[in-house]
Amino acid sequence: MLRLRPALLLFTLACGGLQLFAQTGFEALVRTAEGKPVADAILSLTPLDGQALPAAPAPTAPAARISQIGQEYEPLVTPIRTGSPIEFPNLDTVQHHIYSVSKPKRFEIPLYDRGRTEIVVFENPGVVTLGCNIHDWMLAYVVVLDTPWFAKSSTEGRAALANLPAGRYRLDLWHPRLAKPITREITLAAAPAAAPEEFTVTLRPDRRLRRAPAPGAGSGY
Amino acid sequence: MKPPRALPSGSLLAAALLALVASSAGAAAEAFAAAPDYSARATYRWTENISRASGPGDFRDTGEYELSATASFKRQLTPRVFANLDFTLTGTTSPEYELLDRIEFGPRLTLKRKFGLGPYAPTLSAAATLTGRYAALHAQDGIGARGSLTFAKRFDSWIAASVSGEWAGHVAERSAFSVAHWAADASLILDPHPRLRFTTGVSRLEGTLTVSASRNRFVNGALAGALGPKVASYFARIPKADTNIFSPAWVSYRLEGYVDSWWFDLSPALTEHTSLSLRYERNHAESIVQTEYSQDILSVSINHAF
Ligand SMILES: [Cu+2]
Repeated sequence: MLRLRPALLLFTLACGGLQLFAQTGFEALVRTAEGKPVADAILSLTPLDGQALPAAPAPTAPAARISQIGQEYEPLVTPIRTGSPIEFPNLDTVQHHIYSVSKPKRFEIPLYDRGRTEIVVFENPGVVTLGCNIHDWMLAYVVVLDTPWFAKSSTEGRAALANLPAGRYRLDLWHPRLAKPITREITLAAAPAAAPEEFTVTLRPDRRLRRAPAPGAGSGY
Repeated sequence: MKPPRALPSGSLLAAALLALVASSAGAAAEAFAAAPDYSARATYRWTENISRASGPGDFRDTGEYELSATASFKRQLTPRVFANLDFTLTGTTSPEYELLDRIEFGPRLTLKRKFGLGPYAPTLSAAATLTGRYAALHAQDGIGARGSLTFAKRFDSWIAASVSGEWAGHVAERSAFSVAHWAADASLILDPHPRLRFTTGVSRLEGTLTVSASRNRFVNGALAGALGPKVASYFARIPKADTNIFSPAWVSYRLEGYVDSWWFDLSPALTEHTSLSLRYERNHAESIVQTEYSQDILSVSINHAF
């Protein structure tokens, strides 16, 4: 019996540890009031119980890539963790001029020739809107987050998070056409919910600038 | 305003311009170090009083088909200055009046200064255009030059405006077709939806313009004094040519005066690369001897950027 006691102790500790660090998951389903799935929404969960966030890995390689291709940015929305670098390859045969006038990261890269790839580090949390000073219709968003728990909704409107500890979180849901981000408190149980949590959102009209050719000149005197 | 002197051979000049354009295209491609963007436009245009006649008896209305192709080299020279070098070839044909058929071609260089970043930054553009014209009516063959300065500003995603001033001149084979003018215009762009653009504008042009009349009305009417001695003496000394442009015994002549225009254009975007343009234009011209004419122009175009 005495010889069994350390093993029992270990077992108990292990069970307790599992309980304490139980990994769970969360899935959101984002749709409009008409039931249309909403892509490019950013779901993020920030722990509220004071636990320290996992350290961000040292930025050795770019965390994401935003291409300039076909005179558009691809993808439209990119979520990253604070301090992460993003690479911006110009895959077009034309020049671009990336810029941001957003508070979390102001920068511009003019005379951006084809074949070039620049890397930009996003040090501060917040939403950074990217434009191109040559092609006014080009638009992209970088959502810089302190928490490591974030996901972008797919074309089916689904955003899933896995391997996060059970507990209380602040949930944020952001979308470029959402008038105000959705924020609420949630508590994640050790066992993930069977069904995704549904979010019904109202999107503002798409105010992107026109790309199609402008009408030509008149009869010409 | 003194119009440019007519040169002996407009078509020779046009050929020289073509050679210049061909050789500079290669140089431009190298200088701009990138493949050009191509775009094309097909237009059907219906013009009421295309003859620019003052007397209702001489009004001629007709439709024209036009095809235009542009190769455009773009280069950002400094963080705030952009250069655009375009080469455009335009062919126009009128099934009813074949003497209206013409081909125009030439380069256009635009330098654009942007005052800031983004679509709301105001821009100032200076453009210089050289156009060679080869027409079925050889009297109007020749070279045109155009210089313009445009200030544009977008105020919101749905509204933008621009004002511009230009000088344009054309040196033709016959002086009746050698014209020059100054013009100023203002336009307003409304984008109620990313796929719909409404543009409207006004302009005033002052200088010389070529108009026409049937020979009978011109010689036996205006020249003979039917419109008063002032008109008769003015018409006697202005450049004119027998062109038979709308029917046998037809005269084209050059007036000094002004043209006021008002137009609007409704342009739905069919795709990101293709748009339609439905345009109405109203012109009213008055010469320095108070003869006047009006024109209504309706056109439909399809624009495509490749
Ligand atoms: Cu661009």
